[in-house]
Amino acid sequence: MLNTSGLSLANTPPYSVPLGFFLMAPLFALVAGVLLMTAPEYALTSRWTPTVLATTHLLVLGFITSIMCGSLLQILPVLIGTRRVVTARTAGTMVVMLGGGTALLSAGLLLTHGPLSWVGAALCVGMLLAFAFEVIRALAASSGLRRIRWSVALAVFALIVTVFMGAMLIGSRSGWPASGVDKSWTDVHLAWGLAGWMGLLLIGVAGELLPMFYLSPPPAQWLMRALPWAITGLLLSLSWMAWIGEAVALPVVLPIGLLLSFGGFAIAGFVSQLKRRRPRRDPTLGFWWLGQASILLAAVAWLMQAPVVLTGVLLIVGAGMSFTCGTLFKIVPFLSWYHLQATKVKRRRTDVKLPTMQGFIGDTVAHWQLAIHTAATALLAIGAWLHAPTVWTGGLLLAGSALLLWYALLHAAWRYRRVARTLTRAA
Amino acid sequence: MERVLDVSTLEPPEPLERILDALADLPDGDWLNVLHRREPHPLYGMLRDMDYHWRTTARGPNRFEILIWPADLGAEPPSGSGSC
Repeated sequence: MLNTSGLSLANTPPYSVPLGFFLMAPLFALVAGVLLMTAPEYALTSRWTPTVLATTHLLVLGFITSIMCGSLLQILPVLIGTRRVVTARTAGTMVVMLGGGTALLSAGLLLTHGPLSWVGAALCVGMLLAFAFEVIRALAASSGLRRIRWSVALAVFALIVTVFMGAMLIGSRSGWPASGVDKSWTDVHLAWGLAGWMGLLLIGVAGELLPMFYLSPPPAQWLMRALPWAITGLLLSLSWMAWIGEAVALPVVLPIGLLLSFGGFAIAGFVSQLKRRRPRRDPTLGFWWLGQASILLAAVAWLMQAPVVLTGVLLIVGAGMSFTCGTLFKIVPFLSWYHLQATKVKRRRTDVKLPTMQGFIGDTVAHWQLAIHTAATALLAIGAWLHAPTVWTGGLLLAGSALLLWYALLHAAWRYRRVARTLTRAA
Repeated sequence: MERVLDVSTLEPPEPLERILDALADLPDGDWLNVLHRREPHPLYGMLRDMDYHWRTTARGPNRFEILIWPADLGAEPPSGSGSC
């Protein structure tokens, strides 16, 4: 028998909590797209250009991490039944800190301005460590779904390591010798951020979200249980090798680990989705396919020693942004409907008919956003690979897809607000 | 009398919709036995607000039974239900 007596609607955060994170995210993708358009000829020629450094942090912190944080605050009470992770006021402060920090950090990296980077990094570090602390506290107090709890806990551990390394790298760039790291640690920082924070969380929630939203069988259970530990072990080994100066092993071990772990995850995801009980044309599933294909291509690109920027484009724009967009297009309509339904029940307003999930974000917008985002990924990848003149158009499409996503989210929020007003008005 | 509702092959938010509809149509003295593929955490708060009691039993990794009955039938599952 399951003990659910302590659960209540009060565990789920108000609608505004995840939405604050979600509405902020497209702004950073828009700025990143415009930034790529301003210097298309050399923007993706090297991983060390100020444009690449700034764009990477705009996308990874401002877009992907923002959506991941908002989703986690909502998903943990719904999937695992944890208590509410943070209050609405704390979440609001977190949105401001992450948004402001990302803007300042990216500006500092773009302009090679040390103090700007420092202030931005300090805001991001403060917010992300506070977020990690609150998530771990909520997980520790919960007893639901052991597998996903461990995946999320390991992802949050990876976030903490990424944040510390990032802070030390910023210190190193500003000429702070006591930070003890040099430029070569960037690979380790990147690995913990992409494979650890982003990858582990993805693996953790995919095992639940795919069966829940697409009625597909859960991806191979043994694999989903083993992967978080295998990836964490790999990342710890890499860090150890970097620490003792065996940095030469990094380019060999990492792609093999990526191939085996994330390649396995991507293939398991495809297999599971092909077996779904109600196969229908669903644009949100297209984001998952694009993400999984990008992971496989990134691993191959790394093995073929293609430019590192290509791998970065595939993992960040192709995989990270696609998975987060696909998740957004599912959970925002669901949350909108769910919060309205809860209010309807509480106020006993059986006279009010709620919109369907399609009424919040329709399939047409999702189809267009998927098409534009896929084209942006392809053009940016070609630009990074062949130094072809496709970066300007890729940046334009990235900015366009961000605007479309913003429109979709604002439409859902507007529709929610309108129906919520009807529900709270006297019958 | 027990009413059985199988929502295990429906996409969100259909399971929640069907359960709420079934509760609205539940005759006096009856209770609902819901078959679901996952534990419906979002449902519980609504049940409390509607004055229902519930008991969830895991029958396997992707199989849950949620017994729901009106609070006026008592705090324990009604006699004759699968959970007794």
